[in-house]
Amino acid sequence: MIIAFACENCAQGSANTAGVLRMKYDHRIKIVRVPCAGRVGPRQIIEALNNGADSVAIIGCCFGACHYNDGNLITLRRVKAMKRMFEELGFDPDMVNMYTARAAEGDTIVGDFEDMSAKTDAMLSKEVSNE
Amino acid sequence: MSKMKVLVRQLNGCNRCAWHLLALESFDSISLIGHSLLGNNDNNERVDAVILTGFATRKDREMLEGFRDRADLIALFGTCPYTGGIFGLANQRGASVLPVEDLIKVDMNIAGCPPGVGTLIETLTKGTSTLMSPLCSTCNREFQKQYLKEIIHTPSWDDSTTCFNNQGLPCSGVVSAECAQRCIDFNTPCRGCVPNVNDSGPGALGYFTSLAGQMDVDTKATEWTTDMLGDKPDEITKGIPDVVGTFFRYTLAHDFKRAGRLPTTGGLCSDIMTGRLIQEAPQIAATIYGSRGISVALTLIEAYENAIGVEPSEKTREIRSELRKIQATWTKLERKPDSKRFAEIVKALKTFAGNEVLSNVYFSGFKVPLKDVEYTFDAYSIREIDWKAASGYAEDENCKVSITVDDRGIIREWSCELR
Amino acid sequence: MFVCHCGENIAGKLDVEEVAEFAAGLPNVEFSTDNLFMCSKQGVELLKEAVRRHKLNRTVVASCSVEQHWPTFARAVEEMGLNPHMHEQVNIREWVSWVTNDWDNATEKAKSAVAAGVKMAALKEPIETQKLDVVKKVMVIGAGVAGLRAAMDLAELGIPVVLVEKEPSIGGHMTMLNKTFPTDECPMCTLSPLLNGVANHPDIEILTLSEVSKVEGSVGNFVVEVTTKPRYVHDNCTSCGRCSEVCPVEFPNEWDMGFGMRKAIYKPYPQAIPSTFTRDKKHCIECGLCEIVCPVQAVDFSMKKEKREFNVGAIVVATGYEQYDPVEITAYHYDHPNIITQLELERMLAPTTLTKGKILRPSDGKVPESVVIIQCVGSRNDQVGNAYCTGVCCMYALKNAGIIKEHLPNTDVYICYIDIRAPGLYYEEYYKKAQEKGIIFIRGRPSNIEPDPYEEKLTVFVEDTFTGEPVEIEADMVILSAGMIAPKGFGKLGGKLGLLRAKEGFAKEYHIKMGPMRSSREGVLLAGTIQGPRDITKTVAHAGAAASAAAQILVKGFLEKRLDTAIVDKDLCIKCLACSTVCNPGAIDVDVDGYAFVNDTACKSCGTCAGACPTGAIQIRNFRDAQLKEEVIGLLEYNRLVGAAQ
Repeated sequence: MIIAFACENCAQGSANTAGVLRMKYDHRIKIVRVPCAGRVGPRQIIEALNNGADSVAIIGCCFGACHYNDGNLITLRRVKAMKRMFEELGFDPDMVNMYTARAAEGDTIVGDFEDMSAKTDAMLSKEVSNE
Repeated sequence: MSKMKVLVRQLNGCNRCAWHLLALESFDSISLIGHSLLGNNDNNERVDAVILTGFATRKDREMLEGFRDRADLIALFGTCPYTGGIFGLANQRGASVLPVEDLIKVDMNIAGCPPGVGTLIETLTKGTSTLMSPLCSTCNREFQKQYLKEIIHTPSWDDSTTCFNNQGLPCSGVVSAECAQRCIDFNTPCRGCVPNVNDSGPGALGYFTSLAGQMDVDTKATEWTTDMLGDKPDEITKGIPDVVGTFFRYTLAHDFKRAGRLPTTGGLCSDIMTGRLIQEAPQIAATIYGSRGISVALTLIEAYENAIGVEPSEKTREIRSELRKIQATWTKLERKPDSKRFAEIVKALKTFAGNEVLSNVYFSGFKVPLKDVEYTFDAYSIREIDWKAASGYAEDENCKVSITVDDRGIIREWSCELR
Repeated sequence: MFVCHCGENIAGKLDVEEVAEFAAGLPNVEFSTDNLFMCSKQGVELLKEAVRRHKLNRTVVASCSVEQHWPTFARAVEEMGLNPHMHEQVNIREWVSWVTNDWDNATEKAKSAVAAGVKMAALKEPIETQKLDVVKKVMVIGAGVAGLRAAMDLAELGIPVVLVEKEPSIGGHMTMLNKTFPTDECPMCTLSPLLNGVANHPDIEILTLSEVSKVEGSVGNFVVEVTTKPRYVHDNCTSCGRCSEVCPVEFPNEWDMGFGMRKAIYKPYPQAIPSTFTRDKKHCIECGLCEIVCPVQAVDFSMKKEKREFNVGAIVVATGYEQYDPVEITAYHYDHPNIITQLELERMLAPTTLTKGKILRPSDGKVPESVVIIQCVGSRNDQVGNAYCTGVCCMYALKNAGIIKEHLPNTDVYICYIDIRAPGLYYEEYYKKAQEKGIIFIRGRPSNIEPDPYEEKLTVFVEDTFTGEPVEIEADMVILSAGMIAPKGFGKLGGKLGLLRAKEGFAKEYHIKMGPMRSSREGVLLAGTIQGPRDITKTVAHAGAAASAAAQILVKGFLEKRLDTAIVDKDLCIKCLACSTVCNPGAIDVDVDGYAFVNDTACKSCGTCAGACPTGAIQIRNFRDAQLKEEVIGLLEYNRLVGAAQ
């Protein structure tokens, strides 16, 4: 399962647009609504993983175009440190990723989603081969 | 009032907390039925309270369930039984260090590394834990509202007024309660041995990285015309080379529920030491090596000093030899543990090392002036250190330490042979 | 719990009945059904009826997006006496049925979404809406053409304005220009009705020689402290000019860019508003002659700096631009007297200055035989850190080249350019006309200007990129088309206003397309070049938009604020102020005891504070850590149970 925290501006808008355009993506992706990517912190990421998510993604507005100025940029730093943390634990840093989307363009978030599922699949298959 | 029948059991890990609990003998209100350090005189009778120290593993389940059945109250003494403690870091390399609470229901926690026995007595008498004030409220350093300009690994030695986090040095004081060791008094940032909130690791990480909200971070363009977080090293990854050991030092087993996948180095302590920042190593060693901690911490310092060619001053050596004397007394005491003599050891440690985890002890010298030492601080204060990749070896009468540090300041290889 | 078919939109892709049945078995669910169109009148009635009959206190509809129909159902539950936020919307159309191909996968995904929605609904808290009174007054900072336009537009709407200008007179850069493109009109002629209108408007208070020194409060209710420097001349000055006549000190007038002279007691230019003279304390030798000759005793050396506080509902920032200082580009030798900027040329062309409007070589007063205009000085130049195009230099270069050609038909006029940018109505036409005037266009950015050590001549080195040939041009004068940059002092003012700035130094707009006149902070609007370089036409339009946006906040007399804002739990707050550090709208302050305190009016509910809080003390209502956790568990739990069963 992939938990995708989507900000209420660009990301949710883009997900809605993708829906309207009937674009298809991986059903394992579950969207959680948040006001801004800035709302998401290590607590949310770790809780999702502790509760069985395979990977977590945070999707916000384009860097520099956050509707709250820089919420997404602050979370960017949080997520980068989390990636490093998972690496230190011997996991794939792709266990958490941060993306952007544009509300008017459904294909932006679908691109993010496809990347997420591809990375998650790669991660899971590596784990299987290790075992 | 009848005496409370108490059983003290050390699970796994260092036994420093158990040493402290020897003091229970001297309380009139308590009848010590058994104590791990005093030999096994437990006859499985029903007790009022079982006090657990040290971390748990799955193997302890049966024993813990037994305690749960025969005790009215289970109290945890120390951070290890509460969150897995510092030993939880071994989970990075596949260990299964667990908080006791993951196995049985627990009635009270007295966190600390180590905590004060007084707090335990107070809690037992009252029946509930006392709410402790946040560490920050007891700290003299001041926080200025501003984003970080850099992330550092050693504090500014002559600055005793600026918040460590402001300086760019992560301090987990924000998620911690006041404690018995008070590293912050010795120019050492808090690593959160008394978690004040349920998810202190993620809390501290979110806090610090938010303050780093303007540091350079790598981003990259995607093929589908958006941007995403990049994987290249940047100021965040360079600044925090040991995220786990910095923010999850005492809570990894509690905060993150998946066993790490790094290969084990073959020993619990070396699994913990490997991957840590060299600057943080003395306090970690002093903690996890328990009753041999003084010796290991000093030897590790000397091993790295040898490696990078730092000569500590005459006085520094003198004070270190005082510390080794304390170690020798403690080692001798192991044969016949005694609470009064242990109290003397703790007192001496506070005099020469600041606290029990040797927060004042550092490479090349000491961090803050010692109270009962007659020389001027200049004679034993820290000299400038050029942190670099190096391998070194040192030994004393208790241990042999060899260490390899990489260019990011991370310990890559660690071996410590105890004699 | 209501699951919507949305005709075939949802029901054609997944098993709606199965989802509704699954929902019925979830904890806390009292009633669950499916319906063809929940948003139809019948659907809404069904929901209301169920609330009534089953005494429901929370509702969940699994249908389309929050944006589309949350308001529909929220209104319905409100009509039933519940807080609208007791309704939870689960999106199983855009986020499930429309994007999933497989019937079973879609059904399973819808179930987990519903499970999460039900968990979330159980934790939702009521949100109130608060009415906040606003102060019907606006402060406009900067009295250039943008500030004047905004002030006038607001005053005409009946909103009183305080207009703050740091210079002794209002009017800004536009008053310094000689002509304006594309009509070659006299700017003073076009601007003076507005200048006089503002100066005489009963609802506009003008504060010259004044700067904003402190800003407190938030949208609808700011308290702004303005510091006014002493003018040393009282308002009863009749502008007779005798003081200036007797003043013994004379030096170059800044307003004339050094092409005119002024006294230590002066008016920058004859038509300046206010018409009161100003004593320049720095240059004054305190001889006292002006005090003696003044017929109305207006001159007063004892005037002191003043501080005043204004209560305003909105602030319009119109502090304009600064001309790029070409000294930074050493190869262009801007310190040479015969190398001047376009703004200096504008002053040289003015009839009131030393040359009396004639174009003369500054070093010796000779009529130039060759003039080179260099474009993109300090713009489109990564080396000096300004990658952007100022956007007006091409147009004014064409204008001034044409004017030089008109004045001096025998003089060669060169324009060295990267490319000529003349977009918009009448601009390209203007370019065409300039080409017909015999101006020589060379496509290339000059590498350097070499002053002749013995003569006054200059040599401009440039590669003509059409021919690829290096060209050397002998010139008597070089005019640098210096770009617009953000005013250097804006960092300080921006800090006081709590504005985010773009890396170029200009104030960052709220949204580049949909809110170019809004700043990062609610209630603070941007007008004109402070948001980015632009010409007068666009500045005036932008200022009008800023005025209208400011009025929007104030005309109703109150603001409606949904209080789904951040909230602090003092038991957990450790006073670390990380929340306040990361709060962009500046909504978090400290209370008397030092705890974080949220100003509901300013809070935008983004939650960045919650992610920065180490203890989880600050939370966003309805997006609390605990609520998000339940939602995530809801999404994952169902699959975990199914996974375990398999």
